[in-house]
Parts: sequence; C-alpha cells; structure tokens
Amino acid sequence: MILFCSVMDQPDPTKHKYKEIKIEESIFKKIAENDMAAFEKLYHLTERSVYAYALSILKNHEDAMDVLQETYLKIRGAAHLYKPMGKPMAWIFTIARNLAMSKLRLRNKTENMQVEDMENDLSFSYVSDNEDKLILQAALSILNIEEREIILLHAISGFKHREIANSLGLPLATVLSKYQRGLGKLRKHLKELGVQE
Amino acid sequence: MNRIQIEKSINRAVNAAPQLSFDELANLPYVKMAEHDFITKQEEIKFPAHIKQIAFATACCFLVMIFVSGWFVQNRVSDSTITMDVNPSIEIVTNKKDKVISLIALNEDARDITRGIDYKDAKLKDTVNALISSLISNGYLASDKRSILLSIKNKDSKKADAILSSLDETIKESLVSQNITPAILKQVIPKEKENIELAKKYHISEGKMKLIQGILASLDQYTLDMLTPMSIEALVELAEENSIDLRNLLGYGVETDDDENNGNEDQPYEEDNAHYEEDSDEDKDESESDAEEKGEDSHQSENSSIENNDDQDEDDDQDSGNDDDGDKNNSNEYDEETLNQNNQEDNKEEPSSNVRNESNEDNNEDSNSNTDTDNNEDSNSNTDTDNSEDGDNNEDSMYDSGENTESNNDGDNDIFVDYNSEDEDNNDYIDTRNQSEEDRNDNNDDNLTGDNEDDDGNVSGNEDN
Repeated sequence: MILFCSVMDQPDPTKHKYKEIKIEESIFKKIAENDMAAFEKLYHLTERSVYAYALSILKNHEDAMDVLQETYLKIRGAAHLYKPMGKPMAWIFTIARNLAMSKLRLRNKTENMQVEDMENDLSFSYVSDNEDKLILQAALSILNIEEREIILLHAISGFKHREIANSLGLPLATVLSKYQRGLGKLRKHLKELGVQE
Repeated sequence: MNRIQIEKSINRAVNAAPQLSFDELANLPYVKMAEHDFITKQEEIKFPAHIKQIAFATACCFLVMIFVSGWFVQNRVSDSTITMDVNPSIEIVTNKKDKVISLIALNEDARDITRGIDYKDAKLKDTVNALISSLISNGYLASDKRSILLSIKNKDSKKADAILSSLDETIKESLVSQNITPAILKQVIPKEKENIELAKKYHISEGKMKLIQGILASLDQYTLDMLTPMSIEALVELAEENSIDLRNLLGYGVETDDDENNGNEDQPYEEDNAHYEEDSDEDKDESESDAEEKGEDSHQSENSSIENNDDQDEDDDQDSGNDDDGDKNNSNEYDEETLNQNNQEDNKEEPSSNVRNESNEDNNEDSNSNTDTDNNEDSNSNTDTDNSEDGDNNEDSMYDSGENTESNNDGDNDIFVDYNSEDEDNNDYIDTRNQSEEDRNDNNDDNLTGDNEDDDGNVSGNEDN
C-alpha cells in the first residue's frame, strides 16, 4: 500500500513544473503604498514571464533585460493609477510590449544594429546546453512575433492558452492555431537541422 | 522531438539567462506618474468584433420584435367578434382599429355571401355594407325579409354598444337606399364555451344560438334541430306568435322607457315593428272595425298599449326607416300640445306638419288614411273605445301597440300623436293648453303606467280643447 502510494505520488516526468502565477489586483495598491514586499512578490512571480515576453519581441537578451527593468519601474510608478479590470498580467504584458515596441522602433531608426550583431544576439552564450540553445535560437529565428510570444509564454510561464489569450488580448482560437502552427514549424526546422531526442 | 521536449528546452534556455537582482531594481529611481502614459495605459476590455455584431443584431431584433408585437396587437389581435345572421350566418372579427381581420362564413349560405368580398384591412362599415349588398343580391334581404340579428362579443361593453349602434346605422342606410326597411335585433353576447360549441355544432353564430336558446326556454315543443335552420325572420315570427319578448330574451328588456325614447340609437335591441305594421296596416280597417265592435272592452288594451309606448315609437319610426325620429320622440309623454297639433292636422286633413319629422308624417298619413271615417266618430266617442281597438289589434301581432296607436290616432288623434310628436313641437303648443302643467305631468305619468282613469282624463281634456 505504501509502495502504491509512493508510486502514485511520483510526479509525471513529462510534465513541466511551473510556479502558479496568482496575482491579486490589490497587490498594485500595496505597491503604490511603497510596500516593497508586495513589489518583490510581484517581481519574483512574473519576472521570467516578462523577460520571455520581451525576448520574444526583441530577440535580444540585453534589450529584453532593459525592457524588464523598465517594465517594473513603470509598474512601480503607475501602480496607484491601476484600475482593477480582472487582468493584472495583461497590464504588465501591455507595459512590456509597449516598451519593447518602442525599443524596436528606436532600433530601426538608428540602424545601428547590424546583421552580424543580430546573430551575436542570438548566440545566448549563457545557455550551457547546446541543444537548448539551438532550440531557443530556432524558435526566435523562424517563428513570427505572435508565434514566439505564444510559445515562449506557454513554455516559460506555464500559462494556459486561455490565459495567454486574455493576457495578450487575442482570441483563444488565434492563440491555439498560432501555437500549433509555430510548434509545427519549429519541429520541422529542428528535424531539418538533425536535432533529435 | 515532441512538443514537451521543445518547451522544456526553451524553458531551460530562458531560465539560464541572468536575472536582474531585485535589490538592484528596488534601488533604481522611479517616477511616480500623475497619469497613465501610452506605455502604462490600461486597455479597456474590448469585446471581440463578432460579439459586438451579435449584440447589435440582438438589439435590432429586440427592437423589431417590440415594433412587430405592437403592430400585431394593434392590427392582428382580435378585439371584437361580430356576427350577422339573416339566414346566412357570418362572423366578422375586427382589430382594435375596427378593421376587419377575418370574415368567416358559418354556414353554406354564408359562403355565397362572403365569396369575393375583399375584407382584409377593410373598415368594418365597408365590409358590412358589402355584405348587405351581397345579401340583397342573393335574395336573403328583401322587402319581406328584413330581419337581421347583430351580435357582438367585446370585453368593453361601451365599445360593443358603440359598434352595434354604428353598424345599425350603416345597415339601415344601406337598406333604406334599396327601399328595404330593416328589422335589426342587436345583442351583446358574453363568451360562453358551451354556447360556442353548440353554435359550431349547428353551423350558426353564437348570437343566433343565444336567441334560439332563449326561445327554446319558452317553447318546450321545439328543439335545437328544428330552430337552427330557421332564418332570423322566421325565429322572430315564431317568438311573436308565442308572445315571447325578444327584448328580455336578448338581455336588454330591462331598459326604461326613457332610455329607449331618448336614445334609440343606443338600444342594444331594436326590433323594427314596421314590417309587422305593414301587415297590420293592410288590416287596419279591419282592426278598427274590430275595435269598434269591441267597444268599451278596450280599457285594458289601452293600458297595455301604453306600456309599449316605445314600441309604438319604434314602429312608427321604422315605418319611415328613420331611427332618429324615434330618438326625438318622447312618446311616453302624453302631451296635450301634440294632441292639439294632431287635432289641427286632422282637421285640416293634412298628414304632416312642417315641424314633424318624416316618420310622424308617415304615421299621420297612415292614421288619416286608415281612419277617415273613424275620425269623426272617434272624436265624438270616448277614448276607451279607441283603446278597445288596441286590444283587437294586439291579436294580430306582438307589436300591435304600434297599430293601437294608429287606431287611437284614428280615433282621437290623442295617443298616436303623443307617440310621434317631438318635444319641440309639443312645446310650441304649451300656451294653447287648457290644462296646467301639473295636470299634464300627472297625465303623462299616468299614461306611462297605463292608468285608465288618467287616460280618460286626458281624453276629456282634449275633448275640452
């Protein structure tokens, strides 16, 4: 019996383990009141998701880190203006998206970024596993922006498709179709690259 | 490589990226915003386009439904159910605007009548006119077939009465133009399931069924099977033969004499006695001679005739085919003014005065023509003998009161003129009276109650005049 229970309690190795992101809207009120504990809680809950989202748009670690930092500063500066609408993550993603898009526009205007630099940006030298690096590079290079957003958020934050749809303001059907299409493209690309299990 | 492996790899790669230290972030300066900028602006909840379209379509449908339901209630929901019986039984259903929704032939005869009539959204009056024309052309209405039963079913009794009155006028106008004087029975019928089922069973209208049931209540020897095929004309004659009061039968017998006199148009029941009078007119000489034979035995018949003053008015009026005449006449009052007027006219041997209406003219003509020989005799005789004539006439029909008045007029001109004269006319003669107003009022009251002595008093007064 004990053996049976121990077997039953074993986690499914095929499933991801995600930190469940449960944010109460009242947390912004606390942040507005300069409650640093609330701000830290929000940061630790959402930091990776916001980074992944910024990375999916900018495809650059440094820019994504800049956007991440600016996003939390904006949250801190505008928390008192937040109106509860039932979608706190949507507001955070909206800020991150607007900042990332501003950065993209700025990048296109300056044209300082060369193609080689872009390639260097996709080097992700901090990733030790070559296969993981290759998959991330492939995802950022062959998928379009919406497919990247959806797949990265699904992979990093563990959001369900419905939550992604709510957070990004997209129809659920669009999220589902883009997720499947993106994964299909990625698998095909990886197969061509000879990346196998 | 499956989906999970791909996601795991992406997750590991992203998580391998260096993190921003919270302490570093917390120490960074920030600007507390006074209002949202384009970065932090919260997006309002946007409904998907299709939801907006659905909501808009739903709102439109709702509005359309409101308009349609309003239009339906006004135009397509039945408000009144009118049945017209001659022998053909026709049912007309109208909406709140008194426009015809449906026209139903309740029996075989009626199918010929309703065929070809374009009734949809037509005015009730126009439809009834068309039906009357069709009834005439098919031979159901003629100079000897004039009885029509009009029945109405409506929750609003006032509206029902108004519609009946309106139809009554319409039918009369239509028939008079064809030289037919109608005899219209009117009734407002309640909604009774049993009555409806019986009417459907026998293919007649509810109104006719109610009339037949009323007759059957008084006549045990008849059955529904015997009476339902009969025309209204035949039913009325049957009721007359058996002395059945159709007024009580149709539920309006309680009306006072004043009501009837002052507002014949409003009478739910209005049986034209005219067509009975025609027969009686033909036999007038006979009845008068009978009356003379009866002599003094007619006291009681005078009283009975007085009770039916209204009938007499109606009879006279309907002779001329004019309802308004009946309304104008206060036939219950035995005004001596009118007696004088009639006396004058009789003396002049002119059947009508300028003041009188047509019906009065007709009546006077009838009375004069019928009683040329009797005038002198009757004027010298007591009115009791005139009343005895009434009694004889009563044997001819249930509407003999009209004849009685004529015979009375023939005799004394007193009672007849009273029935047919207008108040205005009567007022013109107030100064010429010998009696005081009190006496007259007394006489009037007495006449209404049929007091013999008062009648005699009236006559004596007239004789004095």
